[in-house]
Amino acid sequence: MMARSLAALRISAKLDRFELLTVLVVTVVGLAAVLLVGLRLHSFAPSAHCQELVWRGFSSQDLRACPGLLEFVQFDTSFTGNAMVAMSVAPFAIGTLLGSPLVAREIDTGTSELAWSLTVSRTRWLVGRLLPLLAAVLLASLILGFAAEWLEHARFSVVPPAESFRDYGSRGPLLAARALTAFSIGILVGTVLGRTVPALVLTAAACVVVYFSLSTAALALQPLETVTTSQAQQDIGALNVRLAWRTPAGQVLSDEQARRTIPANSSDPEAAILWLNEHYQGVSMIIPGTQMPRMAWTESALQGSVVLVAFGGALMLVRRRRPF
Amino acid sequence: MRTLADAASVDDSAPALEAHSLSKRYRRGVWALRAIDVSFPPGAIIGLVGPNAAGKSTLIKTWVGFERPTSGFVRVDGFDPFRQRHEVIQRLAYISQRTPLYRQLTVGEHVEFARILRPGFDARLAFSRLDALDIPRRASVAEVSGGQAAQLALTIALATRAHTILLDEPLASLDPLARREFLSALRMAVRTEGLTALLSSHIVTDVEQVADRIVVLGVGRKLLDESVDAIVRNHAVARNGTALPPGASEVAAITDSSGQPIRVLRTNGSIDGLETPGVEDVVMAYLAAGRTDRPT
Repeated sequence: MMARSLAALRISAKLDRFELLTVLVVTVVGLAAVLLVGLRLHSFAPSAHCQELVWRGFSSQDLRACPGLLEFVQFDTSFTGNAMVAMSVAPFAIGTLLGSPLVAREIDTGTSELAWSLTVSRTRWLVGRLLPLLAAVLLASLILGFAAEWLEHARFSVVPPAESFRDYGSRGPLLAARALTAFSIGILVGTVLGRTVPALVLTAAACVVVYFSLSTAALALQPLETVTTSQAQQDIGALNVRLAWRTPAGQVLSDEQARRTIPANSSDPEAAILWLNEHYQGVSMIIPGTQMPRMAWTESALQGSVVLVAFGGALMLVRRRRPF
Repeated sequence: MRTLADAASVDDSAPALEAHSLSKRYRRGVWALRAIDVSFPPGAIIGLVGPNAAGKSTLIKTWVGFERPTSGFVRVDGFDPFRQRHEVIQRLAYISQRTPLYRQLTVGEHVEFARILRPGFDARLAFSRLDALDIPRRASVAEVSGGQAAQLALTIALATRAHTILLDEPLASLDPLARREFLSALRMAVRTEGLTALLSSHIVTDVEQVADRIVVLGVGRKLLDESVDAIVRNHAVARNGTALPPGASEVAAITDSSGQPIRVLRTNGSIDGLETPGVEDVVMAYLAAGRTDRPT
């Protein structure tokens, strides 16, 4: 039994060796890049106070107190920012690359005819084929996610990464949830289309739609706190969702609602702002940084439901569809 | 999984393969099969002959459960391929027209792959057959010849120990020597193991070498279904100018392999003065008749 499982794993790895090799290279290069950037950031060794200045803004006087801060900012802007952008794209790329060809290529090349005429259960065939890749997707995305989490700490150690929305979606276990989503969508799309290249393209497009939809949904499900603008600046890890206005009676109006109360003769935009500031207090609707894990879990749960639907759909289709 | 040893436990009264009023229309509106009725008892080699687009592959794929009938139904050993997929797949081995093999895997890994997927797969039989054929286990499928790839596909099919083997134009891409070797191997395996094999081809002479019975399909309809002996016994060739003898009917006028015009007659027995036909001439005559009687 063990020998058979190992043989199955070896053959599955060989069938998808190009994709696995690519993911391995992406993971190793990503990890190496994160390590190099992180170590370089560490070498600047700015104090917590100096790091905070990066967030709040600094003057030439501050630079005297924080030597090397300018270089730190320049390096951070040029390299760390790009690394984080790459980290946010990587899970989708990994999931798409491993998921969409899984069934599509079998149908494309006709090998599904051999496999499906041999196996007594197409469900078992699909599960056997996808499990090793699922493990690879999870492993690669978790490695990159935790590496990016470490990089975030190196970049900004004032607030623990788990209590901050900085670079949200570019780090941590959320990357694994996003990679799994892309993987499952890829399998479903590949099973529907049965063509490798169109499946890759359509999966990538579907991932963009799913990413924006689920991020928006997760955000909408979070309770917002209303704080003054200065309080909002105090919470470095908070996510500023939108600006609002508080009436003297304590009622919070959205910007749009508040603007509707401006007298008709104040059509000048500057005058309108002045009017708003005279009559209301400007406030920020935020999600405190400590709520970041809750937001990440909400989004992961939404991604998980997409994963279940996509896997279920793919399983159902594989059982019913023609192998060509 | 049914092997020869437990073959007796299966309902022997059920035909190995059957199709009843089977029709298949594709989404484009093209009819691939029209009201096909066939029933093949176990233990024979059946040749399925017809030109391209005659419906041979579609018919085979309905038995494997790859194509759903538009109307009618098919059975394998009495089982429905769509409702009793597990039972049907256990009884079938299928070699597709394209001989699809994994280019990334070696010959030996294909055997491993089949062993993983198919309960009861006889890897020992597969390896011994590959060794006997001098097909290197470590060779990549991309490196072996077309004939060796076809032999690998046949080896996998035989090692499933399935009761029935469906071969969809496996000879199409092979050179004459490889075709002969493939057919010889198939014939030997079927005879010694008592299997049922359905071999489709558009080349009559290939099928004629091994088949006990021939079914001719043309534009989705069954044109002829008889044993090879009966085909020869029940038909005759008349050269031009010969009057149609009593009790005979003309199938079609065609040209023979030497280019001479002939008339193929259905005689239902030998008639003096008429030539004994070749199987290919009879098949060609039915195909010609089917073409002129094309459904709209």
